[in-house]
Amino acid sequence: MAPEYEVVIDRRPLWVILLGRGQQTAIVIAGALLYWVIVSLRLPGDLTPQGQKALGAFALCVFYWVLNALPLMVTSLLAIIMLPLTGVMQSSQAYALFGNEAVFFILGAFILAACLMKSGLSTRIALSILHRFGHTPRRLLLSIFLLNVVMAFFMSEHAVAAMNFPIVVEIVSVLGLPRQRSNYARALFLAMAWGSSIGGIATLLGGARAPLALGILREATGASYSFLEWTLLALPLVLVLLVGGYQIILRFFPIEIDTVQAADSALNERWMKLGRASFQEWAVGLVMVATFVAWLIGGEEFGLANIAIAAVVLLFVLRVVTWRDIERYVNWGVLLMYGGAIALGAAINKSGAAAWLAHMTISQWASSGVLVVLLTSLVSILLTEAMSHSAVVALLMPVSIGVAREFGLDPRVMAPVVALPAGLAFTLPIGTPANAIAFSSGYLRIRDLLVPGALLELLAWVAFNLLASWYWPLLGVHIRPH
Amino acid sequence: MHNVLLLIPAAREPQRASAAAIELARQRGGKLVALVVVDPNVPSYAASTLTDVGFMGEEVGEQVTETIVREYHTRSAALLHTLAERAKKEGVVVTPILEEGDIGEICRRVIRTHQIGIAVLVAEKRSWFTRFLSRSAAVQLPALSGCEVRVMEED
Repeated sequence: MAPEYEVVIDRRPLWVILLGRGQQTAIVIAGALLYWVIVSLRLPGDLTPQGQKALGAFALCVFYWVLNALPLMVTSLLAIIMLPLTGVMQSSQAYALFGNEAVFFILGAFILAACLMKSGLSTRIALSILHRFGHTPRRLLLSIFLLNVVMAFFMSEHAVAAMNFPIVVEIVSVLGLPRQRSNYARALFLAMAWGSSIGGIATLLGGARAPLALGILREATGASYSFLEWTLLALPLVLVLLVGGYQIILRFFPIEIDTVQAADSALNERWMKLGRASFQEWAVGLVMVATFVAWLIGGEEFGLANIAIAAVVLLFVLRVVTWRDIERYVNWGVLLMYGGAIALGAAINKSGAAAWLAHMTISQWASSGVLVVLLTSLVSILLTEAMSHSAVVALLMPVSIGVAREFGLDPRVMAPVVALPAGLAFTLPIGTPANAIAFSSGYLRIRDLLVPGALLELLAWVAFNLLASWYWPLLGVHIRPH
Repeated sequence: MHNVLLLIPAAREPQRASAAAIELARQRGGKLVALVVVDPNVPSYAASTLTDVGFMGEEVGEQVTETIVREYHTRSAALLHTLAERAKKEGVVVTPILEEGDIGEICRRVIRTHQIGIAVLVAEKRSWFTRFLSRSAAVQLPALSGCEVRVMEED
């Protein structure tokens, strides 16, 4: 009997195949070379040797973050060891930055979100809204969009998308909508993904970008924003994107079905199965509301992180969750990622590297504070489509503080200028986990995200800059020297 | 070796290839083996993004993966059922198979156990952007031996 041969014909160009095989190693080596080049060059201007090394470490980490050479948190660990080893910062200083208040606020917010999910309260809220309001195709679509937006005010946008995904899949499934051909199915998945991204910028809870930006800002300048101030800054943009996003979805994907009765029945059945709210749900709900109010009215006095951690402790006192539950819902890499990013930001700011970099880059192209804001927000919104939101903030925030000083702007203004656009990725599946989840359902094609997403992105950038120019000054945040 | 294999990509509904496979089986007087393989790598991409970029715990990623896999299974089962009904009208017997795992390995096993003479593969329609982002279609084509392979464009 003749032997069976298995032949796979790989028709890609040879250089692509070779690059694909050794890609990760090549990126790691290229990053090391980049560091070596930066610290060896005679750079123009008055950059100190310490600043040059900080700049090298910054470039190396950004390079790895952008190209995913290593997991995000491992690159952050690399930053932490590079700072003391290259003499930029003492070990005690570098490691102390892992204990930054912003890091613990993020941790507290993630644990609270985990409690919301674990107790089942988040699912109850979602089902209660959808079964009450989603009786027609248009109202169901709007309910899903609004639900995701509003839930992302209180918990991580990624968690919101992941949590509501099974509900949207069930709706699409019971309606029998065909894959990649149904406008309504595409509209529902886009409403889920975009809704969670839009809602995620409204408060400091929607994602870790804003707390990270505030952590870097506080380390560099001592200034920050209260929970209420940040929400007031972001809310009008959320409203514009809510209206714009919904209209774009309806225009690009006109609803082709007349009834959602099957989905209505399925949602109703799921809602009935939930039964009465448990003690855990009540406890988590009340603690969450109390925490939110405390952040709004006492955030400055008591500290955002203290309130978050106190709420977490209270939930354990009430025996609502166990530590094992939390471990299953929270990825502890979050501490390493944000601690490392804040340490790196502090190092390049304190060593003078941020000011030097700002002088050499954005300051060369921008001639006024307004132009700085336009450019920075544009770079932020474009980068966030291809890389992690947090990496965008870690990259841009330290440099932006330097740029603000160069143009006589209040450095405080740069936190929302960097962090708000960094949360607005609507175009690519790789832009944010919410897009990736929606895309992996199989109902969306890349072009369903690409064109409408680009339009929403443009709207977001224009609206953001108009609000920064005309609305922010009413809150005492000026993008012109004041 | 009169039997025909139709390999359907998960989450797709190839009408033209289905009709061609039914016709081939009828002409050859064999049965049609309709195979849908759910590739676990597809849902795990969404889960790993949640963990690596979104810093969600493994429970969240697992829930998303489970939902996607369940959905793929439900849709594929419905598709196989429709195909079997359609083939029955043409007098062709269909053996529907729905599995999860490595596509090449499953295909080779099915070819061996069901004595397949011709395998009809569906080349997924992909935009230039998808082709740019993902690997070449040739790499994704499973290595099949011992039977004739016909590749049909997705309609």
